[in-house]
Amino acid sequence: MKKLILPMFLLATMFACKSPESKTETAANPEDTETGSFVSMDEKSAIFKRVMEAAMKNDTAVYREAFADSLIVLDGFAENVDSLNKLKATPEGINALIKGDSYLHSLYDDIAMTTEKGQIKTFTFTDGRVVSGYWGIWSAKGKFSKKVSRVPLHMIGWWKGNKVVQIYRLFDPASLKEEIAASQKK
Amino acid sequence: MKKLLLPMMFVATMFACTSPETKKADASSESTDPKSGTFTSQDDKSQKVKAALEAYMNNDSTKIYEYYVDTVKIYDQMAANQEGGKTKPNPGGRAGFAANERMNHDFFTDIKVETDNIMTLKFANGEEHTGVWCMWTGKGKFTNKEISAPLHLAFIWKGDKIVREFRYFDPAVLYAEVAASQKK
Repeated sequence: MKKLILPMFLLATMFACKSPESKTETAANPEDTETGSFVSMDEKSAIFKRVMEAAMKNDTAVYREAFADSLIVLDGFAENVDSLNKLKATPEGINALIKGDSYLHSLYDDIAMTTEKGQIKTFTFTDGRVVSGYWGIWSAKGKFSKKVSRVPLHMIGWWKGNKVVQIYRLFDPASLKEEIAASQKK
Repeated sequence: MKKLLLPMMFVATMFACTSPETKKADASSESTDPKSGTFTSQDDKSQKVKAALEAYMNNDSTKIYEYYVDTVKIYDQMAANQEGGKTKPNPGGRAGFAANERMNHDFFTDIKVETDNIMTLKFANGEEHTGVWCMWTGKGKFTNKEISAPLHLAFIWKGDKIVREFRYFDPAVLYAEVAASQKK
């Protein structure tokens, strides 16, 4: 009987330890490259939030910390789509982004973006890609029109290491265009 | 030595089997994060959204009636649709949505929507959302212009039905086509 205990124990151990591994194999679909996990309380989501808070205060130094110098900026406006049906990157990348976001402070007061729990999430793909996404509301009061604008905003940032290398922004620019027009009348 | 073998095996087993548990403990921040979870692109819900987009391109509303609840709320995420700090849903529920989707074909021909970037998120708290990132294209019936607009759609599921849909896009080109239609 004693001789049997050791082999039985080994077998039991193998089964006990194998169980979770088997579950993982069942859940994964090797043909699905667009798969992974996401969180909202990680460091990268926190960095994304810090950049947004900096944007509200016109503190562009934080941009340089979070974004790569070679940042690709994609603004999802119909006029930015090229003849191949692809979005054209904004020339001068990070410099244009900083200049554009600073310009907003000459058009608007009280610039704010909602940063409620879960509005920023970071996605880690099984192949190692890491992407942060934002779904929220940008709001501000026009210095020229005196109107309060609330604009739903979606952004995606693609990470390489600890820097965002590409950012995509999608929103309805109607109220921004109106404020620019109002500023040019005065 | 033989007497030591069994206790050593016990200890080794404890460590071997503790390892995955420890990983779970490390990931416990995920369990306290209700906005965490997993995502896939080849699941049933992603396939349903793809089928709904393909039906839309063909001016076929049947998938809307199959996949959406009749009280579905459609939120067009535009500056003009804001009320009380939130986006107002479009009126008419599922029937209103289906009518609007068909109306797109009154203004445009060759409507296409890319369907290669669809993912479904399963949250730790049980929510399921499907996201689409794509380019919408069509040819204006009144301007004769080929139009493209980047589009992001977010579908919120309850069971196997869509209960809410959020649509992010720059509507300027669509408004331009509607304006052109009214001049003729």
